[in-house]
Amino acid sequence: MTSQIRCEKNVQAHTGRIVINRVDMDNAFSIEMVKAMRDGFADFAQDDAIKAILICAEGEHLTCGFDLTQVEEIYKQAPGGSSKKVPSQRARLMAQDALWWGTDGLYKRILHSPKVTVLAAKGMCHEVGLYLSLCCDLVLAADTARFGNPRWSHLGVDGDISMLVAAVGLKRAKELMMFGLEWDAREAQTYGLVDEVINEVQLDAAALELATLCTQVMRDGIAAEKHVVFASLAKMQISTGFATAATVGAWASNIHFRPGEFNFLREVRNQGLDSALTAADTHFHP
Amino acid sequence: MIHVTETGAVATITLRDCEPLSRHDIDFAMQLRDAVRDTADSNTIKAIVICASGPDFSPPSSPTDLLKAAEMFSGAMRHKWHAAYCAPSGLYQNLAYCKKVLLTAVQGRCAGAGSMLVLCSDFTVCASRSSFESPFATLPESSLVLAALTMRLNRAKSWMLGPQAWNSEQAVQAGLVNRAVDAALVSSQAQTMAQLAARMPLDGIAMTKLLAEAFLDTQGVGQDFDMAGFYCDSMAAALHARRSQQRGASA
Repeated sequence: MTSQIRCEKNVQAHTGRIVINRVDMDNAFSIEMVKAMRDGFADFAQDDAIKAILICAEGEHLTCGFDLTQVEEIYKQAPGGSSKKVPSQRARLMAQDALWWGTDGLYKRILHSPKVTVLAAKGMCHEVGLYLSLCCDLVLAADTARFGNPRWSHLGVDGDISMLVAAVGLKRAKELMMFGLEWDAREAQTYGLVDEVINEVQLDAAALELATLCTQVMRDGIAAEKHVVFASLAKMQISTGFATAATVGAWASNIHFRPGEFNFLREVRNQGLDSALTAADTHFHP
Repeated sequence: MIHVTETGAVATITLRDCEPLSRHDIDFAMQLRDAVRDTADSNTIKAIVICASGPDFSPPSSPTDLLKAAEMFSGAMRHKWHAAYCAPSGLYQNLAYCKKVLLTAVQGRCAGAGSMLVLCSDFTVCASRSSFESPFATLPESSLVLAALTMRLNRAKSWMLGPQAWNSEQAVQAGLVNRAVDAALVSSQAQTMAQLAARMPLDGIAMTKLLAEAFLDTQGVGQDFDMAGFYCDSMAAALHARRSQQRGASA
């Protein structure tokens, strides 16, 4: 397990804690980190001593999202992904499913965790951070928190939207989807993405206190409530949304750019990441 | 009646107002549907703005006109009404499932079909003095599913059943409208938002809209429009009853 994701148990307190710790990269998620968090959730799910799981982060930000230098690596690691210069369609689909949206994917593991899940959000909560906010049961946000997925304005939406629409409504969700906006903590709370906004200094303590409070509910009660939630998620067709996300996410790795359109990955390849980010900002927010 | 202009990747569809749609002017509905569909089919257009040249985006229809419109819910015209407004090839599904980014720019009052255009569009900009009447009392083709997805169920019901139109502040708070600005800035704000969306690659817009379409389908938006035929009988009876009540009161 990578040290950039720390999974800690406090059996006496009945809490599990997953700490994101890649501060020098704004807590960007590598493939290994996704797998480690996913495995951590699987382990906590099997442990009867654990009733609540807290996700928090070292440093200034929850996460800036997936590590852009590993975007192509995702597909190369999937079956059939490294056999050709261009990864096969099955490699793209299987990678999306395995890492994010499928039964063993990170987001499905969190969303279907039988334990109460609490997120302490702060700073950049982009892309993976946005989905962590949508998949956790309770979200506390520091007043510094900012939620969004800037990649969507570069490529189009390549992930699930059913959770986002359920949380904030269709028209607001589309602002995040198509304008490359980010919402500050107060906006996110007003729209329904965040439960409570608190001072950043108090965030970790308050989130742990909330998780501990949740452990006072008896185990069967937590399991019963979570299964009622799972039934509702099924009725809301969230799994259909995830399946669609895996398909569309695979397509997104294969889009064509027309003259004048901004190709972020080409900019990264040719000019480097920092320069590409600056160019993207100029293009989308002149 | 319907004027289409293009500036770069943004098309603007201008109508006098949406009132003919509220009294079920089928020719007008088909013209608007065709304008949106043809514009969306263009390989150069990424975003479409619908706006009105009149003082009100969609003034309310008179009770007499509404009653006359309700005559369409019976006999041979019922099929034409359903095909023009509710069916997959009709106006509202063409708007809700539009392949390009769709914006509505609302000035003044927005009642009846205008409110449906707002619900079917991706984004809405309105004037700070605009008002939004629920379409549910007069139009059986109104979609509660779309309203609930846009505003969440409690607010959709509040709008549907509440006695008064919402002002722009309420509409923004509920999530029915994205931005409320000074009346003089509605058009430019809508164009700015359309230009912003048009910065996405065309493939990205197609992918995003396809994803949204799949989502709307799983949530039953298409089915809700299909069900309009079942709602129209009770709607016609309610309109007749209201008319009789008004006549009785004035006598």
